[in-house]
Amino acid sequence: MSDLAKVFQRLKAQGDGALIGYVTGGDPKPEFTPMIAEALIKGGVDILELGIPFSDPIADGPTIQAASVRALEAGTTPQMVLGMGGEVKNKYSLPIVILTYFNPIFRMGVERFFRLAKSFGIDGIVVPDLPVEEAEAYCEAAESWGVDTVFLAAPSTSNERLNRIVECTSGFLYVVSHFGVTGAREALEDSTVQLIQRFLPCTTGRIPLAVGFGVSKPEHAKGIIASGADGVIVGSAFVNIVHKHQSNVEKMLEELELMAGRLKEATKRYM
Amino acid sequence: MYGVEAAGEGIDSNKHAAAIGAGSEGVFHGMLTYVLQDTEGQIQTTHSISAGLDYPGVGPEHSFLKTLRRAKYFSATDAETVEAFCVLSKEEGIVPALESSHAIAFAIKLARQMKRNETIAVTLSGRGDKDVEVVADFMGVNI
Repeated sequence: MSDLAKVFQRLKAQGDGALIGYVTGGDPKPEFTPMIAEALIKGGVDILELGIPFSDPIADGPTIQAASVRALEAGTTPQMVLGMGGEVKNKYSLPIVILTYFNPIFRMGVERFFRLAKSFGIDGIVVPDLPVEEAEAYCEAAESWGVDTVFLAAPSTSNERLNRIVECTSGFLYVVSHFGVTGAREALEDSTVQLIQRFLPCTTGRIPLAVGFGVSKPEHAKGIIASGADGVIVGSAFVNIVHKHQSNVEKMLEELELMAGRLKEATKRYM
Repeated sequence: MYGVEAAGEGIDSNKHAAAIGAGSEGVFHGMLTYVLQDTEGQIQTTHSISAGLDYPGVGPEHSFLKTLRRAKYFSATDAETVEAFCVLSKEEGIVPALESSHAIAFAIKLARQMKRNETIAVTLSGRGDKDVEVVADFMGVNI
C-alpha cells in the first residue's frame, strides 16, 4: 500500500478527513518553499501538494497564475520542485504530491520524470491537463516506478467515464468541485455536495476521494467531509497568504500555520 | 505542398511565431504538436503582425504533414508579409488576410524559381479588410 493510501486509511479509521495543502513550489522564491511547507505541516496538513510553476496554467485562476509567474521569475525549474518535495519528505516523512501540467513532464521525458520523482521519494503526481485517454505511457511509467497517479474528475465527468478514471487512479481521486478554474470562493455550493454524492457509489471501497478548487474556508472543508469525501485540497487560500505577506516572512508562516490548523480542525468528523 | 509560418521580426529576433521552424515537440492546449518552448517546457511568448498566427504552437495537422514529409515549411517576416499584402491588393484587387499574406510572400519567392508554365495554388484563408489598419500602421501611413 502506498504512503498516500496509508494516510487516508489511518484518518478514515479515526473518522477524520485528510487536509491536502497546496502551494506553488518556488513562490515567491525557491528558498521560501521549505519554510512554507514546515508551517503548513505544523498547522496540520496531512499531505503536501507542491505545484511545478508553468507558463500557461490553464486550470488555475488568478491567484495560482500569479504564483507561477513569481516562481518562474525567481528561476524555479521542475527539477528544483521535485527536489523541494524530496527535502520535505525526508524531514517530515509525510506524503508529497506534485502537481504539474503535462508539458514539463513531456519535455523531460515521462520515464526520466518518474525516475527523478521516485528518487526524491515523491508519492503521487497530479496532471490537470492529462486525460486518462491519453495517459497510457504515463500510467505504465508511474506504475513501474511505484508512484501514484492522481487523476481529476469534474462536474462534467459522466458516471461511465468516472469509472474509467477511477481504474487509472491511485492514491486518491481529485474531485474538481465546480466548473471553472482554481481560486478561493465564498460559499460551498450545493452542486459540490451533489457531485460528491454522485461520485461516492463509484469510488467507495476503491479509492479515497478528495475535493479541491475553491475550497478555502473551514466551513467548506467541514461541509465537504460531512458529505462523505475523504479529504479536501486547499490551494489558493494558502497562496494568497504567501503573496500577501511575502515581505514579512514571520507573519506569512504564522498565518499559514494558523490557517492550516483551522482547516485541519474542520476536517475532523467529530467536530 | 508548402506551409508558411510567421517569422515576425526574424527567426533570430525571438519575436516570431514559427513553431515548426524554430520550435520542438510539446503538449500545449491539449495538442501534441510543435511549440515554442524553453528547455524546461515553459511556453515562450510570440510575435506576429497577424493576430491569427501570434500563437506559440501550430495545429497538429501541420505537425503531422511535416512528419509525413507531405509538406515543407518556410516562414515570412512581417515586412515580407506586408509587402505581399500590398502586391496582391494592387495587382489583383484581392485584399488578403495578413495570415494568408505570409503564403503570398512565399509564393512570390517560389514563383521566381519555377517555369512559366507551372502553376501555384495559394490558399487564402481569409480577407484582409480587417487588417488594413494594422498594415497602415506598419507602413507609417495615417488613414
